[in-house]
Amino acid sequence: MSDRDTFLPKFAALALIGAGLVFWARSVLDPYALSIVMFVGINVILAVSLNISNGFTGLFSLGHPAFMTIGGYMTAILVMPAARKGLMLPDLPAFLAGQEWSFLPALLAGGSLSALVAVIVGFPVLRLRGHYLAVATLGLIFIVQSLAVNLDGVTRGALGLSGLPSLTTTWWVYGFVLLTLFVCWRLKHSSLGRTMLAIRENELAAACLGVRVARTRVFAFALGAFFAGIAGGLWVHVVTLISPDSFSFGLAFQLVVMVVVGGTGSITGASIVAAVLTLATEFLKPVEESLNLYGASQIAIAVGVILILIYRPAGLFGTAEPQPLNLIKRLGSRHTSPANSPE
Amino acid sequence: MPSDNGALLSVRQLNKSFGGIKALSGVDFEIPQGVLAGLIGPNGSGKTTAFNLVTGVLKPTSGQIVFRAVDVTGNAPERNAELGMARTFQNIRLFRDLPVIDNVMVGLHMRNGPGFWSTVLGLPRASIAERNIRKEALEALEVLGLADKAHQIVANLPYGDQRKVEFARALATKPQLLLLDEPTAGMNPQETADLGKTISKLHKDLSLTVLLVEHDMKMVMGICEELTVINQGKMLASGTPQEIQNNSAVIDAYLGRRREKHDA
Ligand SMILES: Nc1ncnc2c1ncn2[C@@H]1O[C@H](COP(=O)(O)OP(=O)(O)OP(=O)(O)O)[C@@H](O)[C@H]1O
Ligand SMILES: [Mg+2]
Repeated sequence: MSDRDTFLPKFAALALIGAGLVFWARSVLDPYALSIVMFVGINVILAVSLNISNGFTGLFSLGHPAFMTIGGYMTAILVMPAARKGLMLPDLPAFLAGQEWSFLPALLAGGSLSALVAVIVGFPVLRLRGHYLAVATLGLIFIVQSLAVNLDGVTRGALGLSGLPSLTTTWWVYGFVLLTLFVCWRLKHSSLGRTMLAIRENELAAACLGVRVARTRVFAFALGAFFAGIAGGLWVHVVTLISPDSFSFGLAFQLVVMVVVGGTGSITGASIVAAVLTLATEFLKPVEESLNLYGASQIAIAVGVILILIYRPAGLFGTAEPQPLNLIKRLGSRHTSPANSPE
Repeated sequence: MPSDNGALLSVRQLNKSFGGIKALSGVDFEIPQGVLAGLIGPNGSGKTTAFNLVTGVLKPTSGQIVFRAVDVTGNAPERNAELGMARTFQNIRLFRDLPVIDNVMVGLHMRNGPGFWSTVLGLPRASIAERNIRKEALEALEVLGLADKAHQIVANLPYGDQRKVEFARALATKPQLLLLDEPTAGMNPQETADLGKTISKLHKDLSLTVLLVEHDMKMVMGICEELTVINQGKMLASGTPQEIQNNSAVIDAYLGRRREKHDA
């Protein structure tokens, strides 16, 4: 309805503002600061995409790092120059050894492989509920890690792949942030998204209304995995390195925190919290070093999370999306009213 | 084997045990197309269990369920919904955090919902579908007199209205068979009477086949055309409301029950 009619221009306007900010950041920030900007963007992709399964559909998945690992390796192997592959991965199967893809198709291939794996493991695993699903997806992280260690013909085992080209730029990250936000926003405000929320709210009632519960759950899981795979590919081409333990349980925990604190189901909430937590971790690092209080920042963040969950159990935003334009209007009227009143 | 006698739903020799408890044993009934039928019996007699078996929420221990000449025994609820069954729940099962209209719109996805790609690409087909879904949902809410509450969060509605939202949600799927499990529980006498009229009107206007479970005997006797009575999981009687009212086994089951309660 009216929401749908104004979505495209609104999204385009915000995307342009964002592009301006990226342009500005690139001209004033040093490479280290820019890498932090990239991690902010990658974490936004991760948190918002995890929200599809954990927020919209109510699946408690911890599996994102597994899909990042899959996407990370896939992308790295596909873009690696053939000559370098010959040296680093002499045992690579022939059909991979000759490939030398450019970055974008390699990222999409990484995402697609992750989504495929999500579909395959999804049908058995997503039958599980709540804590059982959390444990099973945790198991998935460890299975993927041990495969990465043991398939050393493809992955170089525990050594990992180092010296990857630093292909990821703020523009690539920004592009995929936009894609993730666009897809998730459209999805959430659609009939399909409504069936996901319905499954989260009452699975049995949804099934009795003809919602294909199993299929929708697998779809939500796989769509999240697609973006996680891409985020993995972006990440490893920032740090120029991937090893089996690049993406592990700690990261899964951080991502779940972002979704839960932002509000399960809120795209805005997940984005904001992902950005704030990434920046906070980064800025608190020098503080704790100077005070000799290592780990203090993590404790501070954990305490903050606990407080938020005590006082706002549904997260900062619940399932809602605050309307930035309304907010600006409200702020605007607050600014103008004192001017109108007699002094 | 498909039924050939024209019944929309036939239930044959249905059995269901929960561990040691025999919730249903050898239940048989048929609902002809276009009839407003009632399923009655004292508390714990197995009415909700029968609904759960028919709609596929539970699998029967044995027996057969035939719907629209198709054997649907053991089908998943999704499949039965597609075939045209819709139900309400005795213990309300709404999508609590969603607005009233969204609750109803979920029921329209099955037949009208656009796929992933047309959704994400914002194809005209998707916006047309979304508009139709919203329109039909609003129409279903109007039938139940809830159109003005369409945008409230459903959990904030009074209990009686929540039951009506479930009713509207089931109705919006355009069912062949509507199964209502105590739709007036928690309503005051006025609301109960109104809802009885709504059910009977829907049945007449749309020639909708309805299976009603209801404890309010005045309403059941007033609107139902055929009744099936079960007691402690077994068939007790079936027939028109007059026949049932004069059936001594039925009177005993209900009065006997009441006497026990008074003794206790
Ligand atoms: N999921 C279940 N597990 C175990 N026992 C059950 C289950 N569902 C129902 N029962 C038992 O089966 C019997 C029939 O219950 P059911 O809910 O079908 O009765 P009912 O006729 O709907 O009763 P009421 O009028 O109180 O709603 C009861 O003894 C009940 O305890
Ligand atoms: Mg019951």
